[in-house]
Amino acid sequence: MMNFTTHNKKFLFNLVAILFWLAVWQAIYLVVQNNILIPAPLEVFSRLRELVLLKSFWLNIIFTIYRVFVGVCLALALGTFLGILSGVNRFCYELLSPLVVAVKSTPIMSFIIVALVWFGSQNVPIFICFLIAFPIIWTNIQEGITNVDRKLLEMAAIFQVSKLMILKNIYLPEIKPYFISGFLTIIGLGWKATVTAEVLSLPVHAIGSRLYDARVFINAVDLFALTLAIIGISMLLENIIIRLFVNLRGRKINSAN
Amino acid sequence: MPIEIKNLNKSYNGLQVIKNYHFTFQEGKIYCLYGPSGCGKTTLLHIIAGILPFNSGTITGTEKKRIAVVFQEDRLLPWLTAEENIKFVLGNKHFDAGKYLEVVGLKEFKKYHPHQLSGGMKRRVAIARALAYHGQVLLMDEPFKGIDEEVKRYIMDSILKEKEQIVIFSTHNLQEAAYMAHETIKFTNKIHN
Repeated sequence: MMNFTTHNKKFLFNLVAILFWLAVWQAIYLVVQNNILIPAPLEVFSRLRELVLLKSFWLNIIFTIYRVFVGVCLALALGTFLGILSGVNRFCYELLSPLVVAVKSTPIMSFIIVALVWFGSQNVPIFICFLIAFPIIWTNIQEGITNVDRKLLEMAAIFQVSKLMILKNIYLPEIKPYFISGFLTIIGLGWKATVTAEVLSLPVHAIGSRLYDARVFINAVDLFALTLAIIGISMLLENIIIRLFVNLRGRKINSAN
Repeated sequence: MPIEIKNLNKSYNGLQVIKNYHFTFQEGKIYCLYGPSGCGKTTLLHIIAGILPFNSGTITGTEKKRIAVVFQEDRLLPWLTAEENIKFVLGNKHFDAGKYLEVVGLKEFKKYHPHQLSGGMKRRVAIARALAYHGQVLLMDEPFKGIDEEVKRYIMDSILKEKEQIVIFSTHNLQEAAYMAHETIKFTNKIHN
């Protein structure tokens, strides 16, 4: 009963917050009275409803998701591998650290322009997504390894536990929260970076390319509708992944009991 | 083969904790390191376990020996259950850890994680882990802290049954020393031979 009430309250608060900001948007629209600067919320939602019925809209979404997926997977694989190496080997850390710092502090635009010269427009968003996500995963994994409880490692060494068991039972559980937190961060950032790269590299099927079209044709309604779609899908993806992790954790606890 | 310590010296930041220490720990005997906090009992146990370097001296007889340790902190893996913590050091997931958890009075708690156990119970799991390992050397740093008398007596009796191990444990409690140890080594503020 308590959970039910709490859940309802949370839903109510969220609804009130959304309605409040929609009212703010409507008020700004009424003050500005310029559809190019701020389109009417109703008009934007009506356009969004039209868009979701178009096959091309979903094709754009699917291709963008595909690019985020590939970029994030590459970053996860390489970031985890090199993060573990850097966590256990000081030389590896010193070697990679300047590269990661450089990638972190370079403006995304510089990378997009360079990548446009190096790759075809189809692959630039994947590369950019990877570049944004890799340093986060690398840093998190490396930190996770560095923060492994030395006393547990000492205990395992005394009891002559095999390296594989130490990896499975000490390193992996210790770095898991760092991995999950990094993963959840890069999903959101990777999504934004991919769309930004699409706006500049203009692949054929891409939500970013449609944003560019809306800008060229000074179509603020489309721009806002597409932005709403991007926000919605980003939130949906994050939610799916969070639920996936929660379910996995729940299943593990259940199997332990 | 006994453990032989000769001319052992250990200092931390210029403070000499162990000075020219000599001792021979014989197989099949139980030794108690008795003394106040900070006198070097844990330092000596850690040196024998091989996890703490020393400044000078020699230790022989620990090479190639299986050493089990009950640390002052429990050092249990928080994501594993009590029985999984025992299986972890044995590297055998089919091992019957229940037998050793029974010795420490925790058979019904084998599926519990450390965060679900009290301080004394965690201590008992750490003892069960060390007993299950069947090392040739058993080192215990204040193993019975926080454990009630009845369970403590039962655990002590189980350790007394082991006839071939070298058992070295530290304590502040003279009764524990008198009940278990064949020999009590009294430490003062600094260890002198």
